Amino acid sequence: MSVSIFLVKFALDSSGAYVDGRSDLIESVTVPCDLFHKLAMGTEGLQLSQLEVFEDESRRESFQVSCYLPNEASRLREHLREIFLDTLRKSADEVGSVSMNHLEAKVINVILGTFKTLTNLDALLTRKLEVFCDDESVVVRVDINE
Amino acid sequence: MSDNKGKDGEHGALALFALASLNDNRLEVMRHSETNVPDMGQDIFLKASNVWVRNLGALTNATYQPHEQFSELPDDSVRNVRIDVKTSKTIDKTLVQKAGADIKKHPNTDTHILFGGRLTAAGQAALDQVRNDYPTKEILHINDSGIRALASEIDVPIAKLFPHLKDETKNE
Repeated sequence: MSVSIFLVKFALDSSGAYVDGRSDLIESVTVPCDLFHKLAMGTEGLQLSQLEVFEDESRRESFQVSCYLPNEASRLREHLREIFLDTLRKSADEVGSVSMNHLEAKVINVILGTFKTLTNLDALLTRKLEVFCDDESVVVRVDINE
Repeated sequence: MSDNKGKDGEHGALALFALASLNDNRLEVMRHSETNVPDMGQDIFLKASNVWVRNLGALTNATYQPHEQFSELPDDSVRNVRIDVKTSKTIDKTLVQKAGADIKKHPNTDTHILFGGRLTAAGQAALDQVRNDYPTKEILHINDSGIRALASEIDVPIAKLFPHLKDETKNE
């Protein structure tokens, strides 16, 4: 099971409404549920906000998407970096001085997968926080499939 | 059902296709482990005959038009199918664009199926765009009515695998 995190750009209309057809996906990261819980649970009081997205310009129908506001995204990134360092230390301990020939493929796959997810998510959050921080049209959306 | 709707949705789909495979000599259902392929662990893969995919498309979508490229192939030619299970009620533009981006990670897969949910108008437009971007792939969406039709075809009680689809008046 997984959690999908998206960075999405909306072309907001004059009233600032978010419309599905006026959105574009910038990038996304798929995070395994256990890693996402580790990230979210360790960030005290981390809250998802709900964003109303209209299906079309008529605004007759809408749906809600979960997202992190910049403050929450910043706290999540801070905790992510703590987990990254912790994972780095634990992985070093686990691998020790063993060469690739003596390392189980599963071990290196898990390490690589975790680092890939963490670095990709860090890049997504960093893009929001450092390039689009005050830009309300760029949203960190979260889809929890559980 | 468990407390995890994502797991329930994926395993419901897995069970549905596994049961479908009991009625078809060529259909095989596969799932990679999450450890080996972290980006793709959620997907279900099928080895299916060309005619099975065509019948699935017709069964689950009244307006289905077979893909030209595959119409020319023999009925028993092998199709490599990826099932991307969607547990969101609404499949909007973002989710379709993500699904489209995932297609390039599977160069040997000729058929991609978004399984579940209701496409928004912008989601449908995005799906049409994805089809234009990948003209050699067949890309289908099976909505809730289509899932009911498939379950009915193989005589599986829908409430067993997808309790939220039991009420036919609710096409989410």
